[in-house]
Amino acid sequence: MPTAGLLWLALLGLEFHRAMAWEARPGTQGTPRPSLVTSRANLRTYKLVMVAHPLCPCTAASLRQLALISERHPHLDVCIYFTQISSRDVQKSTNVSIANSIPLAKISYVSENDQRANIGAATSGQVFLFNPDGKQVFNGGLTDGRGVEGDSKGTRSIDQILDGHLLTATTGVYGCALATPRDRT
Amino acid sequence: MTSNFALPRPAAIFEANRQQVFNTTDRLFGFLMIFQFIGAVVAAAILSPTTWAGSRSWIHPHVWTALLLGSTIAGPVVALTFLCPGKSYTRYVVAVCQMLMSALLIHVSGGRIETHFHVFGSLAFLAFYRDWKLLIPATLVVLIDHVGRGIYFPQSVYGVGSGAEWRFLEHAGWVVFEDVILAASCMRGVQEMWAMAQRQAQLEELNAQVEQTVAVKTAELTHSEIRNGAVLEHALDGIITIDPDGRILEFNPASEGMFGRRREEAIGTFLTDVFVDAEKATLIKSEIARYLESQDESGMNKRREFAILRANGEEFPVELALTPIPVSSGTVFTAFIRDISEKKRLEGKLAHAQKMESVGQMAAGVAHEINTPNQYIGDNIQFVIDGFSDVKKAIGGYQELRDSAASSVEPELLQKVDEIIKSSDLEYLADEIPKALSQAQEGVERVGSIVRAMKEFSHPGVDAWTAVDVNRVVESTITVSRHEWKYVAITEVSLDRNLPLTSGHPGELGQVILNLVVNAAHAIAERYQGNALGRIGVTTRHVGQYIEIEVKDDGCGIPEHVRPRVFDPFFTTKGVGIGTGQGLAISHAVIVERHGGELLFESELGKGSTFTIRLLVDAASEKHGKVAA
Repeated sequence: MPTAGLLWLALLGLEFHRAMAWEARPGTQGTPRPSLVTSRANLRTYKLVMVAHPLCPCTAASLRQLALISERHPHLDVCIYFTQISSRDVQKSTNVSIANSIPLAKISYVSENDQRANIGAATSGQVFLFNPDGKQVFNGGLTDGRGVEGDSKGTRSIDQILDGHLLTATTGVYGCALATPRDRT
Repeated sequence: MTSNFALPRPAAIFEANRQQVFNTTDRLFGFLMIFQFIGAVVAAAILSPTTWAGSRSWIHPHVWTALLLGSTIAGPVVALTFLCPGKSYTRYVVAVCQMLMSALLIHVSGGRIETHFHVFGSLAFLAFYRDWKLLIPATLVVLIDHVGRGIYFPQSVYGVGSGAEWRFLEHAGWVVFEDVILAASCMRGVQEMWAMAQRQAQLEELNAQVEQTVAVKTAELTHSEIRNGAVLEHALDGIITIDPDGRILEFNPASEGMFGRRREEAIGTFLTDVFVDAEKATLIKSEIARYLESQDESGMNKRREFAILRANGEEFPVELALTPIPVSSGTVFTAFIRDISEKKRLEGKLAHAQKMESVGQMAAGVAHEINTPNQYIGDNIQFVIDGFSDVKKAIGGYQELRDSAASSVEPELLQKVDEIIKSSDLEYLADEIPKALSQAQEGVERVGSIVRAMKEFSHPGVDAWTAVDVNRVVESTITVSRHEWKYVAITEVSLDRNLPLTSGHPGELGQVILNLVVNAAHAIAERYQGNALGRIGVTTRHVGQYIEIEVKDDGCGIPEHVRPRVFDPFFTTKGVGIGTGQGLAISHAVIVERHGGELLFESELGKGSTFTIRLLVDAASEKHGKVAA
């Protein structure tokens, strides 16, 4: 009986560990393509670019965090790119609905190849922040884990950059991969 | 299950109730855990069904976590609560797993703060056990989960990453706050269970006392019913219960025998229907009505004589007393009915005996009164006979004197004497007077013998049991009954002069013989109707150890259908005023019951009957050779 209990506890600990490890493991972090910001002179304010998978359940938390940031910083130029898989996916996407609820957010749909070629994000929910000079000041995610809402290093860093308290920051991105493995091979 | 053997009753009840609470709550958590497991899987499948990599997708790890971790948590609970309900380790496993389920749900929900309410709900559910100690491991699990994840991955439990080092204290504080309230509630619940157990024990004790009392009373009632049933079953008197309308409700076995009807036939019929006298039936009804109207008991509990009809139409006398019995539905009446046929027969016998005693006393007095003058009549007749002989001698002397002195006496005087002698018919008188006196003397002697017989018959000398000379009894009886038979029959008496004595009551035996002789005379009178004299033969004989007295007549005989009843009381075929129906019944009782003998008869219709009395020879007199005189 005690042995069974210990085995049970071990199994329990293992499964909790596995679950939390998966939650806390960041995805691949892409690098923004130079073409993403084409005219530096046109930037009058900070520009935030988020690339999201329309069906990634973890990205909903990132979009909600983005909505909060946008609310706190109404002059922020927010651009959200959804990798378009099919029109049906867009229609049933919770993530697109959340994005549409963010005031003044510019929502665009790009193909997976265009995204990879012209934007450069690798994980859903990855955010690039450019200052008015067109310089990248933030690269990372808005959550501290997959689908974990609430205060995070990413949101805090962006707030601090926008408030002028921080120059640059990089955080991990927690979400689904944007590239299809087959395509990558 | 804990044994409650030797525990005080309140403690045993408390433990039983508590065990019931444990079992019920275990079962509740078993179902709850299944529900939570399914809920976690469904929630994971809805919130994050798949994870993606470009255009490819897989089942989301949250779903696998809900399935694998959920089954790991729920499995032991479901197994233990259904296989080992009520065990203490089951409760502790439930407490631990329930809080682990909270951790899983918090994790699956992405650390949503709202999901933390599951922790507080789970603690409240655990309080259903009313065992505050279970809150300790539950709280420890919450604490370890929060501390561990707070360090390792605070967002998954708090939703925020800042201040995670101490945030567990806030969460733990709220959990302990609820624990305190729930622990107080558990202890209060236990106190109430104790109070309930004590009340239940008191109620059980009271109930046991009541049940014992009921059992005792029931046993008493059962015994009483058995006794009453036995009384009813074996009572010699008829006991019949009737309703106020007189309808028979109960009919005991004695009643069945008395009325000649079975219980099933009698139930529902009216008791008064069997009354011979309609007026008496009305009397019973009116007394019942009077009692019901005014509780007047004057007609109740009194024995009254009625004539009742048996099922075969035979009439018989009974004594009946009615008793009111109050019952829940009103009043019923119980009739106690006694067949008094035997009593009536004995009363008749007693009356007859008293009558005969009176006759005997009168006969003794008459005999005494007659005997005295009869004696001096006889003496005087003897004196006259003797004196007439002398007178006859004197007359003879005078005759000789007249003849010898005729020549010397004047002729006129002689003629005058001759005329006197001639007119007095002296010669005839001299011949007839002695004859007349002799006949007178014979008559006086006969009167004397009748008187002596009457005295012997009515006062045989002793009233006690004694040796009896049957011949003498027969002779006396024939003598005193002469007036009964002398006009219808010639009596032929044949007595065995060597007859031994029997033992018995001479008066009763004489009465029996008298009854038989009188019956014989009546039978002869009925046959011959005064046109001729019949014959009554009375014979005594010694047969073995018996003395037989045979009374034979050539009368009308006894019809065959009457023969079985000739010895029944009050049964008679004679006209009113001639027979009472008691003679042969009493004779049978005297011979058979009193003297241990036999009374037999043979009869041929139209030719006559023969009654034979058989009495045992008196052993003492036979031994000493005593015989009838």
